[in-house]
Amino acid sequence: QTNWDLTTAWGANNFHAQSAIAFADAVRDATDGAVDITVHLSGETGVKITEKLAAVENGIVQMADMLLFLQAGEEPFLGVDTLPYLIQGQDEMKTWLEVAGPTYDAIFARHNQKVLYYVPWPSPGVYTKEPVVSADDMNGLRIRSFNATSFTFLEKMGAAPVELPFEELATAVAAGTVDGAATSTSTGANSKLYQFTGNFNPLNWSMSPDAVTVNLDAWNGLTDQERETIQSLADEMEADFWAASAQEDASKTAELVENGMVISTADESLKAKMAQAGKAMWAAFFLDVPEAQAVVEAYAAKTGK
Amino acid sequence: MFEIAIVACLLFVVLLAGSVWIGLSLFATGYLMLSIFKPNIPMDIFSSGVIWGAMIPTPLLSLPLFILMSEVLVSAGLGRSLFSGLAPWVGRLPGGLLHVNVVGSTLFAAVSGSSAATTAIVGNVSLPELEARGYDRQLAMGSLAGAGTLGFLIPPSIIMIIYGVVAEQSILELFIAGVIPGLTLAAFYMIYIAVHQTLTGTQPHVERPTRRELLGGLRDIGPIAALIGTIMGALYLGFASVSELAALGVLGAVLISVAMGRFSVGALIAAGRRAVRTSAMIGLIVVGAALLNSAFGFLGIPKAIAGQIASFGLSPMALIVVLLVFYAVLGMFLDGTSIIVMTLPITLPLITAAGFDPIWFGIFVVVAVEISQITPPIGFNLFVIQSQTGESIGTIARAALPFFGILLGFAILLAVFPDLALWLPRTLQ
Amino acid sequence: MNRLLTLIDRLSRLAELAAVTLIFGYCILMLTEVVARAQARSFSFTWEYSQYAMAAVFALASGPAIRTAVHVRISLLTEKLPAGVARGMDVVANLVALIIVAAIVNAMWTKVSVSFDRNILATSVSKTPLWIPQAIILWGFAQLWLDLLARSIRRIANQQFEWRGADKEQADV
Ligand code: NA
Ligand code: NA
Repeated sequence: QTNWDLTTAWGANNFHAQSAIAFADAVRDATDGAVDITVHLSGETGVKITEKLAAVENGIVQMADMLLFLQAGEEPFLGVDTLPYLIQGQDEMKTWLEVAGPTYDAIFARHNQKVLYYVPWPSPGVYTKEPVVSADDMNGLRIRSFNATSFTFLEKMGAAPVELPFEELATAVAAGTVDGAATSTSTGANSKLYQFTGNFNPLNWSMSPDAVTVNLDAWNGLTDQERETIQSLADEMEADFWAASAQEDASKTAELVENGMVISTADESLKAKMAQAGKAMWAAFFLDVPEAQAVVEAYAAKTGK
Repeated sequence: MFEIAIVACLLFVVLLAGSVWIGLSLFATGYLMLSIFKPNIPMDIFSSGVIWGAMIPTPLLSLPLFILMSEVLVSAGLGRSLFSGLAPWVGRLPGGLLHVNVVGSTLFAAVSGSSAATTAIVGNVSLPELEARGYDRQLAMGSLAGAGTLGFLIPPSIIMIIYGVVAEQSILELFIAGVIPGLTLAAFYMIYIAVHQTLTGTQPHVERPTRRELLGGLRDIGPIAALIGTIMGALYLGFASVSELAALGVLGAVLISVAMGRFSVGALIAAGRRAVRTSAMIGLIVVGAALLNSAFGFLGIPKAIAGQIASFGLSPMALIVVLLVFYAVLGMFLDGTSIIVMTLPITLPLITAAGFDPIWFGIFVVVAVEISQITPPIGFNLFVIQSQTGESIGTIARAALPFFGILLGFAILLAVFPDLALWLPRTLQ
Repeated sequence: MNRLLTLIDRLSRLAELAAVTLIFGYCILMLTEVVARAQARSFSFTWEYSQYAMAAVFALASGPAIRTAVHVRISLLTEKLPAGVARGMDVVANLVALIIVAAIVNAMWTKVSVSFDRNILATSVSKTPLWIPQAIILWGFAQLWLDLLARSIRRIANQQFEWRGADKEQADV
């Protein structure tokens, strides 16, 4: 009987958390209860959202569901997916993981763990009062950013990015402390941003994955058959989890529309500005993380970016 | 599971009864529980992550600043002005100036998101004044402990924000839903105070005020009323976020003391020294509580109990009563945020399946968390009052007992009349 | 011995002064952000640095709070015991507290060394090396340990060991 703890940074209603629970259930079934994974939701274990990589490495938990870019403080390369214009949509995410997979594997191996599966988040967009369609539409708008890269990106797009704690997102948009917010369809719908902003602009400038990893000591402690069972479950279920992510995006977009939001589309001028800003940020990232350059260039060649 | 809980309780009780500081007792209990029952966890690394994480959360940012604001107000003698201003207006009503605890808490609850901050602000100002004027000390402390909990029920509210994030409910709707319950609860407190003072006859006698005294009173109340009004305006007009209001409050308090010619750098630094020490007191408990919460979370204790409750298949009303008891007991060991985070994934589906509205449940949980604020051993309002008065936790908890009863009764009332919470958001929709 | 106690007292005041500076510092930082945001500017570091400052305030003032009897404890038993026994119990509680705080200091020492050795950065625009704010917390808890040590020594030697209601007089203007 093997008992593992899996920590996820997300709450019960989040599709990543639900996927992790589904995976744990499947493993329990397939191994006749021999491998029992307890999923600990957001805030239950006190493992910080930015310390999941270290928590698995140190054996605090045997498994973690981690948002990669939040581990970038420890491994700067893990912040690469936030670069604008790099990964846009699930098809590109697949290509990206094919190209960058070995690099990720090496990083996780260095931290005594391996990836069982990846699941992408829906792409971020911008919630505003007026539609954002062309290059200058974001000029001077105070928009809440959701991470370091989105702050810099919004700045380059002419907006005035604002940092605010996530908990204050809805109240700040409601009171007009900010003019808008950059976040996903999921978070926007759950925070009911449609009550205070009329337009959602799905700019899709990036896509970030969660990785579910397992500590190598724990992994090697299993029998060969258990490892094989779990690995094949991970390979099998990964596609379902990706579909759940796409479904989440679609259903939350529908929820936004039902509640009267207008979904805008970027015109050529805005797309060009985003690409330009994105490429400039790639270059800056390579200065900080030189090993990213080869990976990104190989990927760019494959996708024609 | 059962033996784990017993070991934890015993250890905790021994440390507390041995008068080890509360924050450190919490920390040691969590540390030992994990060392015993989760031997694979490297405790030095794990606890360091918990300590670090517990000390930097943004929802806590306003707490030290609100404490600082109240210290600056007290240094400037504004507490005394407020009381001398209110004395001619409410001194002769049944209950007299004790109502300042409730009215003051209601007003400061409208700018601060936490109960501990509300208690600290009002208590700093009111407790010494009430004592100087000969009011019943027990009732003064008890009503402050009770009224301070309004900090969570009257918007803005950190607990509602946490609930909204965890339950994926609209935080604004929760804020609106809290208004009527908050004011109703304040009214209950005031009625209790009035009845208590009338029946016991302990209320100090105050002469009938002259017109001049009444007008002078308004002038004395003015600065604080203006301060609260400005801070509220800053929130609702979108100048400042909930966390930033406290910084505006400190600035306002300094400006008022300058305007009234009562400013001195020495007094400002002294206010800062008192504020950081009170903050550190709360910070140490937050750190200890975080580690104990992690232990509870890792060992799955709250989940197991909530799952047990789910398996009973109770009727809606029985479910509410059982949950109330459950939360009151959990509140003896855990703080409000952890209670919500750890139990909601199980209790929320349970409660919606029983036909309750998730917004209503949010208000109900806030009341449950308020109860936990004034029950020993872990009750933040009690701690704040202890640090202000030097009285023992037992004495303060006894003083708060009637208000504990009122809160309990109010929770039941809320279950019987859910519209207390739901009417206003529905009407404004 | 007295020189050690005096040194700890001075270090405690220093830590408290640092905490006071930081609480006013982050208050001013947040005010600056409010003003800047009104003009459509925002600093990416306001919240982050405020968080570090708050953590530092909690830690640095913790020792001074022991000294001034602000940290809360349950005195149900000690109140009912004869003075001699109560003092003995207080000394024991104090020694237990020394052990617990030593565990906290040890944990923070681990944190700072790991953050330093691996150069762990904040996942923010400013990419702050985390060992810096974490070292301030380590300082604060080390000071708490020293203040507890001073308290134990004085309590055992039957000297005045804490300063109840410190600064109260200055408050009454
Ligand atoms: Na409030
Ligand atoms: Na309690």
